[in-house]
Amino acid sequence: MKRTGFITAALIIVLILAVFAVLVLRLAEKSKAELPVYGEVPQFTFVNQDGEPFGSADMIGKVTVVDFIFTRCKSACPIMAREMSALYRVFETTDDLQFVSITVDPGHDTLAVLRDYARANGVTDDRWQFLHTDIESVVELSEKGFMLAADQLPMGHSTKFALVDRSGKIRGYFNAMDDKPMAVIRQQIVQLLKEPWEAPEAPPESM
Amino acid sequence: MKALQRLSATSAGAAFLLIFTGGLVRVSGAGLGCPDWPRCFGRWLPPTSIDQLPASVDPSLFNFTLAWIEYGNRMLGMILGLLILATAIVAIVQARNVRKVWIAAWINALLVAYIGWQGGQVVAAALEPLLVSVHMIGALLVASIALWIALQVHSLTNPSMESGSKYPKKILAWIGITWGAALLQTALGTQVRAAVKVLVEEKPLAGENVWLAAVGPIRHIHELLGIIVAGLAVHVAVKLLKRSENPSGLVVQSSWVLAGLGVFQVILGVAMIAVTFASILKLFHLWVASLMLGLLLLLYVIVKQSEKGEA
Repeated sequence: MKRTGFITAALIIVLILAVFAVLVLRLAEKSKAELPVYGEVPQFTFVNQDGEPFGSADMIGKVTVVDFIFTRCKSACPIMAREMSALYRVFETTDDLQFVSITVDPGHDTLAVLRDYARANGVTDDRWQFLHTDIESVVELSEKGFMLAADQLPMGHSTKFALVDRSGKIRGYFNAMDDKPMAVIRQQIVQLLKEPWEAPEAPPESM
Repeated sequence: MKALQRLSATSAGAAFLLIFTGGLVRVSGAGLGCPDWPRCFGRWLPPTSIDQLPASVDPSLFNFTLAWIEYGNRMLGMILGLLILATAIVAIVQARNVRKVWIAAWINALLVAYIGWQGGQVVAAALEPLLVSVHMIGALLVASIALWIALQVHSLTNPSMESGSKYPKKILAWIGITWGAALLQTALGTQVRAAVKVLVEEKPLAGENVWLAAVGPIRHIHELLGIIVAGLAVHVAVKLLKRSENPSGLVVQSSWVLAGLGVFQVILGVAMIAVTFASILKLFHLWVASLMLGLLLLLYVIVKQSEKGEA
């Protein structure tokens, strides 16, 4: 009787813990799936390192990691490039994720310089784009579009990566200078890639 | 001695519960739920909304649910620390003559403080796998010492508990071998987990089957040793249940539970390989391993004490 009582008590405790754990795990999964929306990427069209137009329309349908950099930068940008390069490599199996680095030093970072910079960072396909435009457009996109600081460029650019979902909505900001955000961005990229998305219907063609 | 008995038993129970909640933090992905330590987003209680975050923190790091899962584990850890400290203080008062008890109690108080601080290092290193393993093994050590103290105090307050009990010859050696194999198995398990974590970071879209297949031979050693440990645990339990003379109720109950956990662990392992790598299975797989280690320690101490009584 005593033995049965002990084993029953142990089983009840295990059952309570199991139910508690299942509830906690469900809550955790649900919370991870619900990433907030911080804003929407405004319409823009710049040119990439190959001189081809690239803009917000090219971000629809793909998850995009965006940052603002300049190639002469010796402090933050090499770390940002290293982190972006790491993401570019580990997600090489999917074309549904792309990376966009926008130069904040367009006077120096010509398309040829950006092409060299891309090569130096191991870019071998069009999953990582390097964009060029005039400085006023960069400041406007950074400050008003992505809500990222752009004071006294090129030095005053943000060190954060912005994570954009398939419909062009900004879903996260991650400081590339810190290991913890760089660990979390990987999980949130996977989450956004899993998020259901339907392509917007094309407007009817005019007769 | 009553206070010491209650405190030491509660500490041991809380320590094994903390291993469960620590596992829950890991499998739920809440390890970075609070990116700083000992505070959480700079606060003594986790923020309830994004507006409460310090300006220097990325809002994307804030997840209310994950923050509270991590913080809950920290709070339970703090309660355990206080229980172990109280045990150490009361041990000095009530068990001054039993040197091994109060010395072990103070060692455990220092160890639990170290493991708590080391938890902060795990967070600072963004869950570096080796540090996570050290944290888990450290918690297991704290739980084992707490259990050992509780058993010593229990035998001091119940000196006739094992009188008349006679256990099979060489059972201590079998318990020791099983405990050693289970400890090795737990260490291998942490290595499998660490290898999977590295693979998840390197190939985040590959999926569980690919990650497990890429773990390498350590995974197969872990599977094989798992069956051996379960077999040894059942062997020890059967030997104690069938070959003992007048075994104490504690030994009988612990033997049944040990055998049950051994079989349960094999079922969990098979389910993880063949059916799903679900988080709840991973959690119980880890926790059952720690409970088996605790039960083997308990059986070893009790049988050893009965042999001393005979001598």
